[in-house]
Amino acid sequence: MSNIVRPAAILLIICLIAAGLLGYVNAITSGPIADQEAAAQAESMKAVLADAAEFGESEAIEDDAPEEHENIDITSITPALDQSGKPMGYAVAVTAKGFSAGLQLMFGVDEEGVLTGLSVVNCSNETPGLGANAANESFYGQFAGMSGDIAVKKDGGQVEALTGATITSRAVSNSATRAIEYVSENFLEGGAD
Amino acid sequence: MNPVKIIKNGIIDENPTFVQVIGMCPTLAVTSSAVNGVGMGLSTTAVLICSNFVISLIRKIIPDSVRIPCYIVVIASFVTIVQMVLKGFVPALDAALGVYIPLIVVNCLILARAEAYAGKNGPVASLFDGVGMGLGFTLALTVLGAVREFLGNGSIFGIAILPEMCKTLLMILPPGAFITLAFLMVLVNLVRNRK
Repeated sequence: MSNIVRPAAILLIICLIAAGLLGYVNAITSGPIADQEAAAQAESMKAVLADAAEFGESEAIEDDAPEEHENIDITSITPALDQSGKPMGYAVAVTAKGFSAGLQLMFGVDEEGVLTGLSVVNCSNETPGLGANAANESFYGQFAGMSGDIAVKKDGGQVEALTGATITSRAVSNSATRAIEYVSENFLEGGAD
Repeated sequence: MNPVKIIKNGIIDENPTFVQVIGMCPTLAVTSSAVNGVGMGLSTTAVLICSNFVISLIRKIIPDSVRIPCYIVVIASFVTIVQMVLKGFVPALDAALGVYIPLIVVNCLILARAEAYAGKNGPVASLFDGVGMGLGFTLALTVLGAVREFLGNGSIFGIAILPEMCKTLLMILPPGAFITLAFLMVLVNLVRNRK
């Protein structure tokens, strides 16, 4: 009997110590982690809407995407204001499924429904050396100035796809299309177009 | 106990990748570039040193029958703590290494060293074993990553060397990992047998 109880008790004690330690570290780090995430979010919003003087309150979005965009979720939209306080565009945070889940993007869309920029917040789940190259400026830089339906060249669009990573490139292009569509339908006067 | 000998043992005589052939999952999966190899290698080394040390300290109170679960709890806790601390206080390092850290838990190299070394030797010797094995692992992953990046992307550490047309995409894809590893092992064995 004791050769069952004793090991179990010791394992329990080790687990309790580990759980206590983890809880303690979590209590210390959860604040700074949230701050870092907010800072990263703010930085990517500035990157995609360089002309904005300040940003309004972020609005969390429950996105009910149409079927062709079911892998794309718009998570939040933040209005941007220019120096005179006039609205000048929207920062759209998107989580999409690229080659694997968890591709996080930030789009800037102006009042005309034209992309002002794209920032790849997190593409660490994409294939290193292929899809993860989405974080290179030569890829994401080309989206600024595009509007309407955005697609890779292979599909008859205007986006130069990443070598060997058509799926990631398509996911980014579709997300761009969806971001513009959503902003046009819900925020811009006169609806779509 | 001779620290130099223990470290050399980890890097050369019992190199985890080329001689013991353990930890193959991260070895094959993340070595698509030299930088990835260094990142994965160094983060593994850090966790390995800590886990070896702590497991060696508590090795006498751990009952034999539940030693594996105890090791796993220690290792997983370390990895989680490292991840939370990096995320909260060193975001730059987290951006560079964040991808690799969760992968460390499933790296059997760490469990294998706990079982084969730290569970049987003193804390200081275990610490040096962690250093040696970690560096051996880092070296192997860096070489593997550099060869694949050179052949597949025409660059080493992101510095372009080969012209665009000489790139062999296959080498950065999964088959490239197996092919490169096999050729490197042949090379290592040739050198070892000659001695």
